[in-house]
Amino acid sequence: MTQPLKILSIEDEPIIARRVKRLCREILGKQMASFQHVASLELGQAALVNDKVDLVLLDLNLNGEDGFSLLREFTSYPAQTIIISAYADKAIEAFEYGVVDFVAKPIGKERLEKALSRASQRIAGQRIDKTARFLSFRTGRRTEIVPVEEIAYLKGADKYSEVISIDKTVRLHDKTLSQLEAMLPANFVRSHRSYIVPKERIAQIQTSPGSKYELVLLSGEYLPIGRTRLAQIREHLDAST
Amino acid sequence: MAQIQIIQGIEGVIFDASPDEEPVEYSDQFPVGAFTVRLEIGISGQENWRNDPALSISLPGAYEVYWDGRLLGALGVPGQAAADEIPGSTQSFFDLRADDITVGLHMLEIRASNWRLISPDSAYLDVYLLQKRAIDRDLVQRSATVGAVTLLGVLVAVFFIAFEGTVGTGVHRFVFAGLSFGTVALTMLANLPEIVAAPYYWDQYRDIGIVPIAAIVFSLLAYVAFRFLQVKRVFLWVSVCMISVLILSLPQSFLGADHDTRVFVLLALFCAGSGIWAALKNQGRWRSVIAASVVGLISIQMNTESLHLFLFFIACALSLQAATEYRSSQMFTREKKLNAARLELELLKQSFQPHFLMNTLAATQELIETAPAQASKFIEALAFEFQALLAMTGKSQVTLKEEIDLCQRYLKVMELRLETRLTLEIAGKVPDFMIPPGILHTLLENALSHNAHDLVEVPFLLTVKSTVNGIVIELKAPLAAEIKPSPLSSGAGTRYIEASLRESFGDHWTMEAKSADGYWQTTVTIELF
Repeated sequence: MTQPLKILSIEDEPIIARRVKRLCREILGKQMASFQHVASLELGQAALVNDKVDLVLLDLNLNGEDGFSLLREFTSYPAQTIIISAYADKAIEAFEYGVVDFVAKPIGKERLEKALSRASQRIAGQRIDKTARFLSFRTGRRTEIVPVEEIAYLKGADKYSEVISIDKTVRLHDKTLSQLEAMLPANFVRSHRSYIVPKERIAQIQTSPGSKYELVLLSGEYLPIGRTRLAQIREHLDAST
Repeated sequence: MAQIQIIQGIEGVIFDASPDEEPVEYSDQFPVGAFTVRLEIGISGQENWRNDPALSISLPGAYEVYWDGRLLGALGVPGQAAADEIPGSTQSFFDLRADDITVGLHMLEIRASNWRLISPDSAYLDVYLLQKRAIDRDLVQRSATVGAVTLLGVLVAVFFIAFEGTVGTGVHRFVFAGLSFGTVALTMLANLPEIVAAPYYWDQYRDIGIVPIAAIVFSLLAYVAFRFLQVKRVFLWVSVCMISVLILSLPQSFLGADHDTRVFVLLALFCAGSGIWAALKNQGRWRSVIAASVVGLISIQMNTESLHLFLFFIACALSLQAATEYRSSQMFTREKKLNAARLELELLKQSFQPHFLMNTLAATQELIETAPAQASKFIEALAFEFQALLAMTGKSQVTLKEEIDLCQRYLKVMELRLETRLTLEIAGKVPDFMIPPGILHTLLENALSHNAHDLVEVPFLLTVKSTVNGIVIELKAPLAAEIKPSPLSSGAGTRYIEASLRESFGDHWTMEAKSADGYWQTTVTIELF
């Protein structure tokens, strides 16, 4: 059983907004803790900052560069995002930003049901999609995009995650380590409760006295290995050689 | 009239009539009838052709040739009355022996009759004393020239006629075919009598025949030249040109042997003059016209005999350029057609872009499930808009009224979809002006998407003002406080408007957008000429 969802819908067409709300209520029933609707992106951003929201149903005009720069911004919030858009051909690109799902308009009830179920699974950490090719970070007023290839490793920090780049820049992401793990591609290995490492960055596994295991990265840094995860890491590394 | 000429191309003095002793035996004016011409010919002994001498004689009539009283040969049989005469050809060659041309004076006597000549104007006598080898060479050259020009000319003419689209369709290929055929005819008429033997009196018909053919060829050349210079009222100017050329050349015995040379020189000067005039205005292909005229003039200056050969080359060069230009103009037309097709597609894509189409479908879906009566109204409004839109596709321009009608229908759809009151107020009387389809519709769509959706009512204001040569269209839309619009968006809509305006009005339009006093205002100005 998953937590009831707090949903924010950003949709400028009143009739479609009514539809989304009606369908969500029908699909989720008691699984929906709240449903908030705003008609503009500005109001949506305010709501994401001020209210605790689990899931954004985002109507985005993805035709053109502007749409994607907004998408970057929205994927940097802690909430998971479902895109609801008229531009079905932009789905693949949208997935690269780590969105949970992409529902093309017009909106079928079954399709939305599937998307909502994916979202609640990911929010509960039960679902792994591994489609993201970028991570978005909000730094002050602007949004920064980092391709996953530039990530050295990720470190969990309470509700946030620290993302350490190959050039040693440390950025803070609003999503938890588990949520990011669900989005990042398959070459990212959870090496410890608090660490995720792309396997290309691993130099070797080192045994320290007292049968402690550590990861040595290409950069020379040492990261701890969770005892239960050792076998899995070895498997990963073998598969790649 | 009758003259002794010196043929060119042979070194040294080849003919030396004593200057003191005028030939008294023939008059300036040839009679029609029977007559005898006697020429005294002085041989100085310096001539280098004396080992291989021959006489070349041209005389339209039947004649016998005597050298120092010895009969060299005859063309036909001259007679004291027309009935006695047996006509031969005009020109022939008569061999001389080396001992015929000893140093000193010799007597050439030609006993002739020309009963079949229509006018004494057609009578003449050319005598050349020259080397036999030169005659052979001349004959070979003439034959080769005539053969080559005939073959090429006919081939080129047939090519122009057979393959539409070589130098353009319709009149142009016939102009160039006419030039080629005409040049062939001129070449044959001018040279054939000296290659092929024909009765002498045919020559006068040949001389008469050359005139209209030359007139046609020269008129066509003038026509091509003026077309190249992009002169307006080409036919008028061709007529003016030809009449003045004819008037200028008439006093020079137009029916003479080299009448067409003089006409050609005058024509070439006329064309060169027009070319210079065009060059001063930098109009048309003046370079080609001047170049062709200069080539023609130089060729005449060098050798009048090569006139027809050069005529042919000039015709070929001009037609080649015309062909090249026709190709590129065809490509331009094809491109224009392609552009029109692309714009039509663009209009459809613009009108059925996903944002409009999918949101409309999503709204319909919701209305069907929750408010079927409203859904039915919505679908009707949509059909009403599509009808107007379909009527427009395929047209490159529509009236402002049609366009405004489309806008009203579009707003009706959007009103139902956005549940907002949308109005379009028109200030002033709408003039009968044609614009590319979908321009206002796209402007309105842009304005609507730039606008506040929290407004209960969105009034659009369209102002259309006629100017002397064009129109100013201004669309104002209220702006929500929190939205800061960019200047003209670089979206597909704006690109469509710009491409259509360019297609219809070239550079004679401007479009600008700004926000002022809480309004988003787009202004399109079209100024023709």
